[in-house]
Amino acid sequence: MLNNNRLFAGIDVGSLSAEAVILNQDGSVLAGEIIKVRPRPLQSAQEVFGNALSSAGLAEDQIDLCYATGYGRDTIPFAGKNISEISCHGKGAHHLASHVSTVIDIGGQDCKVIRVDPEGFLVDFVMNDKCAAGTGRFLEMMAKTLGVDIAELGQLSLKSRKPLTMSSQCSIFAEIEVLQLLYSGKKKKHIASGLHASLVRRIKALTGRVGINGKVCMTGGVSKNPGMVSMLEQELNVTFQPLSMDPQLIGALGAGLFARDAWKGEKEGDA
Amino acid sequence: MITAGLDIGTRFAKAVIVGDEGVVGTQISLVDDTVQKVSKKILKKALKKAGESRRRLSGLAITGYGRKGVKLTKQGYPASLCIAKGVHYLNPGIRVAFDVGGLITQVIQIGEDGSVNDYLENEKCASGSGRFLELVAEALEVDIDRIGPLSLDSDQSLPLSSQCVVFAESEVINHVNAGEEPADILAGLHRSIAERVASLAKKLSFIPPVALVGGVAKNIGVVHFLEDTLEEPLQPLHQDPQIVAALGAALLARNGN
Repeated sequence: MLNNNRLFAGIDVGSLSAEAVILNQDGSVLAGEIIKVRPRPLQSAQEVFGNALSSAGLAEDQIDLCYATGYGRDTIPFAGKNISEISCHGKGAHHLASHVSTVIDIGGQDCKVIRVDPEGFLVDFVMNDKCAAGTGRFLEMMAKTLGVDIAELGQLSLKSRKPLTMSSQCSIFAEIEVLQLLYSGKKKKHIASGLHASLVRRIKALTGRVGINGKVCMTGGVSKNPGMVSMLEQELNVTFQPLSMDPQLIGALGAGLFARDAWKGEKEGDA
Repeated sequence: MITAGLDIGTRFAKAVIVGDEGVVGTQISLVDDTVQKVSKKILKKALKKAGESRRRLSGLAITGYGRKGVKLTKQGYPASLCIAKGVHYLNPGIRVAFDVGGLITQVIQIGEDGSVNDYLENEKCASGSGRFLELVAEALEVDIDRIGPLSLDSDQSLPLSSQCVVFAESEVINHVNAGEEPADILAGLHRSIAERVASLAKKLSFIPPVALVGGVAKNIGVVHFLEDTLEEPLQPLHQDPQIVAALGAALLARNGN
């Protein structure tokens, strides 16, 4: 039996959700599951792993190697190794998005830019998780101040051809600016556009610290905002590679791919 | 001679009318409209309280974050100058003033002649600001005037790990949901604000006696925790600390052209 198909799994236990991915040796995905976290990380890991196995019609002992990531990763005894979230995120995105070399991740509470090599291994990264500027939180707050649904803020911003320049990056200062603009009768679409421009500037500054080269993709909740996608593409002069799977599974997929690679390495070593 | 000073802050706008005998009228209003409209309104109200009219003004000066949008006078001054002037007028012995307003915090070193020797401000980030107090009071559903005294009721403050007001507000909400005592949450909040002011203060050479001005100075919780952190008493000023910058502007309007 020359072509024994090995199976690998990756588990990602976050603070709000947990994911599991099961994949073949060639990296094709057999199952991907997402659950809300349980009170303890181990429970979350067991449950989501179980769901993925069921979905793929497999038993646990058919998985050759499982790796874990996320903040709960240290407490999962059935994971062969723990890998940092950033590495897994880069690896997973690289695989899902035409082997990109730069990943821009803008989440609810942090933003990061990750550079990976042609195999998806981490080369460099920069992250902001200390300041709400540059994160999805900024847009949420601004949507509230404008009295607009966050799901529609992006579309609204695209309706403007004349974005208003916002001088504040801090979301608290930006609130005050937005209020004054509203009191002066400025249109919401122009304000929305200006706010997106402000966030884009912040992200651009972040990308400047690690550099963009090659293909780029965008991940995180804010990647669903068409205004941000469009403005960032323009400002950075790139076209984002689309992702072929639910972006929430990226971390778990990355962990699974690291498990796959580790196994391959061992096998090659044996020969 | 009657002059007026306006301080258009990030949350509140203040007007002070000064005559030869001192302060004769004041007005404090929320900035809930364009800064131009709010400025006109507070000037009118302060003048009315002083029993004066705009025609009688020999000078009108303006300061504060929002002053650039106001077209009532050409006399505009930076807040640091106005605060130094106002504090010096009230107590010439003060050498350092902390101004903690809605969003901006400043530390001002005042010379013996009332001039600004040095100053620092935190104008890009609302960390440790009055706005933080407002947001937490809202989250706790406690009146803003009560959070100061309530913070002193606690004997174990819950520390907040985030500098960012937005993230710290989430921390507070988590504490509330976990059933923590509001007094303990408030103690952590007030201590965090005091520490932020103190860390800004330490970047300049710290020369007592010191005073606290700005709207947040009315919060006895912040006063207590700041005195504790600095290990130094805050000198009382015999005037509403929130109007000190506007007072300074009115005094500058007496000299200026």
